[in-house]
Amino acid sequence: MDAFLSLVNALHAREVRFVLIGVWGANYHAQSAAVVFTTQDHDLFLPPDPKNLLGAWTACDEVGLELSTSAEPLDRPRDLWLAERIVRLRALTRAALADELLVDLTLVMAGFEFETVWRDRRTFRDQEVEIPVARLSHIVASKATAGRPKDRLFLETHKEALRDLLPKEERPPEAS
Amino acid sequence: MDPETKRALEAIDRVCETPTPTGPVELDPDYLKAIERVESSALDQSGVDKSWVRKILQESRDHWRRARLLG
Repeated sequence: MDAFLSLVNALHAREVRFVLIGVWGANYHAQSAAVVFTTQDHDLFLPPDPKNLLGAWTACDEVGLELSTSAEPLDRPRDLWLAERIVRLRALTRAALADELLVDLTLVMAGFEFETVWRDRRTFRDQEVEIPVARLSHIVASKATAGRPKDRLFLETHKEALRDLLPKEERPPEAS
Repeated sequence: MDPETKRALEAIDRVCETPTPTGPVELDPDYLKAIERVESSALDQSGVDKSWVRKILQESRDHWRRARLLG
């Protein structure tokens, strides 16, 4: 099984709450290959809950992912005390499997609280694994709020790709 | 060059030609309308099988991994 799907299964087994956001989240909303973007990163948005974060770390360990924060291996022991510190700092934990998989466990989604995103999520199926995914409008609004160069590039290309979904008579004129 | 690729490259050019400011971006009404359309579609509801998304990305990665420089 795909390494990401194995991780999702492990997260579900530990009842970890998470929502897939970012470009991979947007990809699951695609309705044709023309709206799918190549990306390595899977961004998982987690609530600021130390027990939940600890569960996520344990799940990552179980499927063989290496954990790091700020480019350094995550300290050990990986216990509730450490999870509380990470939550307080709203720091990002990165989980990686060689060059096969990169997952960011983030406690921050620009412009949104976790509970809002969780409440409105979609649950898509991928090879019989249930993937909680943020609403497309939430993903796009968050990227618009963050407004980093990579977000702007995504928004511009995503807008162009979605334009083709509109009936011809409703399409705006192409940018010259 | 096919029209979709041409439009994508033009979009990248537009972004590259302008300074790269950071900060909130205002989303235009046509884009928001397209998003609304996606979200109301039957293909964007919970329970839908999206396995094809991962498959085409994997195929794309495999394709580029096999690429060899000629000449």
